[in-house]
Amino acid sequence: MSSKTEHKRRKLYRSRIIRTEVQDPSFKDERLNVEEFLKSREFEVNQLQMAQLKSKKNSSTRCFQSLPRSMRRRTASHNIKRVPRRLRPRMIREMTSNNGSILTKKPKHSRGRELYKLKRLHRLLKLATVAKSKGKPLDLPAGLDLKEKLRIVRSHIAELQNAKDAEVQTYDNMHLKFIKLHQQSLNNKLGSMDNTAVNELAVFKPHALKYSNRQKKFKWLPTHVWHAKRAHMIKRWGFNIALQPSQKCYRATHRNYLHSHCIAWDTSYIGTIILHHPTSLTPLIELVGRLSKNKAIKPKFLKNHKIWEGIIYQDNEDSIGHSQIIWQDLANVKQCILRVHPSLYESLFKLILKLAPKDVTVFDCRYSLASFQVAGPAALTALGAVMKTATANENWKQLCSFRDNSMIPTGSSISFYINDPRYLNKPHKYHHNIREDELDLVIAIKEGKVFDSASFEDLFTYQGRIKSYKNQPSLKELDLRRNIIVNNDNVENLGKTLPRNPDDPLVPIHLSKLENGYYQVIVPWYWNLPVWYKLMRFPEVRYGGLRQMHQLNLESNRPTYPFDYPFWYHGFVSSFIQGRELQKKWELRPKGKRLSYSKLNIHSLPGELLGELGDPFVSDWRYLQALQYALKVHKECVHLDPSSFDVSNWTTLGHRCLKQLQDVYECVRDVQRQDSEFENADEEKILPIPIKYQGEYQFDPTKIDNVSVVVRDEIPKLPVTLISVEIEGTGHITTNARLYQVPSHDWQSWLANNEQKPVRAKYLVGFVTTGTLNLASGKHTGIGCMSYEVNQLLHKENHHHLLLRNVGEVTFRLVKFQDIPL
Amino acid sequence: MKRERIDGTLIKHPPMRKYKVTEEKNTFFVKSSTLYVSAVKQISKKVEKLNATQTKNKVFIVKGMGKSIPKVLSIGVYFQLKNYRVEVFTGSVKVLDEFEKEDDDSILSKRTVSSVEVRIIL
Repeated sequence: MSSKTEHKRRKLYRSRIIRTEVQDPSFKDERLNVEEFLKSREFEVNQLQMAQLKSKKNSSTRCFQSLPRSMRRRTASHNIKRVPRRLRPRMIREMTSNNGSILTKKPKHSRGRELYKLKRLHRLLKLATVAKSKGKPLDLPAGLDLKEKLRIVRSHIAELQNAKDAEVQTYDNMHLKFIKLHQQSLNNKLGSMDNTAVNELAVFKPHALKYSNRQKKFKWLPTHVWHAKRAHMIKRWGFNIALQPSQKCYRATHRNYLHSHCIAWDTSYIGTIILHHPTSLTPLIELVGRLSKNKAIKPKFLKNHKIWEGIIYQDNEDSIGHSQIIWQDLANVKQCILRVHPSLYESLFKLILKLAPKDVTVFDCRYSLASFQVAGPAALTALGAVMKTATANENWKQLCSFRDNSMIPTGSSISFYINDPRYLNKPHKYHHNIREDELDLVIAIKEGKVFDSASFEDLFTYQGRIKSYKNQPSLKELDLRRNIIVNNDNVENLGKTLPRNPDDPLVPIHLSKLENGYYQVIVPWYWNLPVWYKLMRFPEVRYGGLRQMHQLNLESNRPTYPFDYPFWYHGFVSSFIQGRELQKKWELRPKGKRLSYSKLNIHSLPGELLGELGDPFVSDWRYLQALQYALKVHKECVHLDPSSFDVSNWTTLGHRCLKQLQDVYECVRDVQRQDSEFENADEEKILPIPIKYQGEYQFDPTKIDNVSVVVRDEIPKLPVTLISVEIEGTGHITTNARLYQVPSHDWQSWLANNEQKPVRAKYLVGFVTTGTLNLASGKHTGIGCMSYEVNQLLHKENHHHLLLRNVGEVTFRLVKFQDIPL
Repeated sequence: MKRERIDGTLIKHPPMRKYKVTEEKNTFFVKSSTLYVSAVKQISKKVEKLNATQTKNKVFIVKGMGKSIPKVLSIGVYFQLKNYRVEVFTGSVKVLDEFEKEDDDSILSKRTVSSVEVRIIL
């Protein structure tokens, strides 16, 4: 055995020895010296703890293995730059001793004639790409030399350019003309442009043509490449969105949000519609009043730049979803800014186009305004470390020194210009002592006195956004500037922030505090990435995905769109999709190893059917709707004279008569069977949503004849309401758990003694749409919906408990419920 | 002096706090809803951790205002009895009251609340 391996072996052996005091000196002459005895035990306990640490440290053979998970990198085994500086000498030692190669230098590039040729080819490729982007790729004949090819491509591009310029001149709309002209001749080298559409839906233009094919259906956000390396992505609502970081982070998310750090999300997928009127706000107020049932047009939102968050309605009747509204009542600009979730965007845009009067212009800014949200105690500090105001701004400095709590009123917003964040070598905090008048600042923000109208105007007008891209410097240029400063002056300038050149653009941003306590920053689309890069370099910032938002919402008892809103179309569809995915996974398992839902004996009472209620993979609202209706029909007819029924269980039209409770269950199964036949007939068809948010239950007892039957097409929508549930005692809650009303005759045994009693299926009143361990309350909690009628009844009786049963289980657990307003 | 009544639903905002990374380790804020035993347990754990990691300036701060002042002081007494040196500082903090109205802008008004800071010296 070589001496090296021998040494290693010995080291490992030594690390695993736990020293003990076997020959105990405390026991002498048949007497125990308690003090000494305790001391030696203490020594042993310490040794045990030390041994655990030592063994862990010694078993790792490479230095990066001792790093915390969040600091480990994929290529850390051979790339020295992937480990922190302090570990690099050790890393070099380890690699040289293991005969590993060290990656320190880049490979050499070509030189001389070869390099010249490559450069020419590069230029040709660039030109060919431009030609392709103008709409007509060019087929070059073979056999020509490079110079000739370049000439042909150039003339081809010029031709196309002239044709496009001529086309732009024919546009009537002056807004459109301005935007298109800018798109023809960009004002910067980076290819940043304002992609706003006027009175129509915008067409997405990918930043790099190379990746355009991948973005036909699902567009990339500005930070896509950054996220794709670090997070699991999901394709939803026309975008590629981060679902969750690759690293496990359930507990870390909770801690970062609540105690020490902050979490940032790229929310550029949220679409922005801008309603513009040349002279006055009145037509816009009328339009938005119709959409929001006059809630967003209250005076408090029209002045002081307070943003409105609430529900928008279609035809003043049906609620569609959430929206944010920002009013812009400036001297030159009269606008209303609507921000909605991408799932609603297109339908809302079309609706607005239909409702808008002629003199109102509707801008689609989906791909011209980006945004991100930051939440947690360090949120403001992190934003301040990255977004440096262009002119000295004491207010912003002061605001950034605060820990984020509920100190700043929700809905308040400020707007200002920031410098290009790439000037910073790395983000640094503002050092600012809190002044005496700290509360005056909050009052000033609230009253809109800190607001900079010029930047507010620039951000939400295409002229302003185009201006913000003018002469946008490339990273290369910035590095050159940095080199010049360091070389000319001295090395002390290394790592310092670059001064702003007078030609450089300023970036207008809008910062607002949302109802959920998050800070939302809106920036021009192509400025999102530079800000994001720098934000992620601030040590107290973590990034999140949709799951993290969902988790934090659950922790503060807030429903998440769309998953917790099954009465809206997209909520219903998303739960349907999730269900199908679960079902596929279940079907892949062998029969012996999967739970057979149809054989469960859940309601072990006579007259009850076997099997899970409804579809076990989703919250089966259709089942609940049919059940509640059938029960009502059954109840109405119980008092009828039994002799009026036929002897048979079936009417002449082939409907089942509801004579007994079992008939009700059978009847619900009939409905399900018919539904699946209907679905199988046409796969494109989706059943209408079986529930609605609150409102009247359209049940007319007089319509029911002597014969109690349920006709599938005539079942009215079931009104439901949003609730949150919390488990009492032990047990867990999972998504799609079934909620039951506590049977009135069993109140005592459930509430006083918590005694398990069998429950009938007819007491089913709702489902849990999200349920898991809630780290904020230390218990399992959930968010779901229950029948509105039952909810009202329970409130009247002052009962706040339900029974919960997870899918595939037979145990019922007592939960406490609470209403959540929409 | 009695303050004038302002219309609207009252939203109480907490006092301003500067963001400090170290605050997580060496400070504990007591709310009126904080349970006494729970607070004592949490503080004891944090004190132990601080004692083990910090080499100098070993001070743990317990803060509270208004209704929670007696609770903060009794926590101080608890640690005094555990043979820690405890110092008490009194002071006042400014808070904001927001009176939200249905249609019009909400009104913000300042208020001063007495506060107490108990320093447990390790």
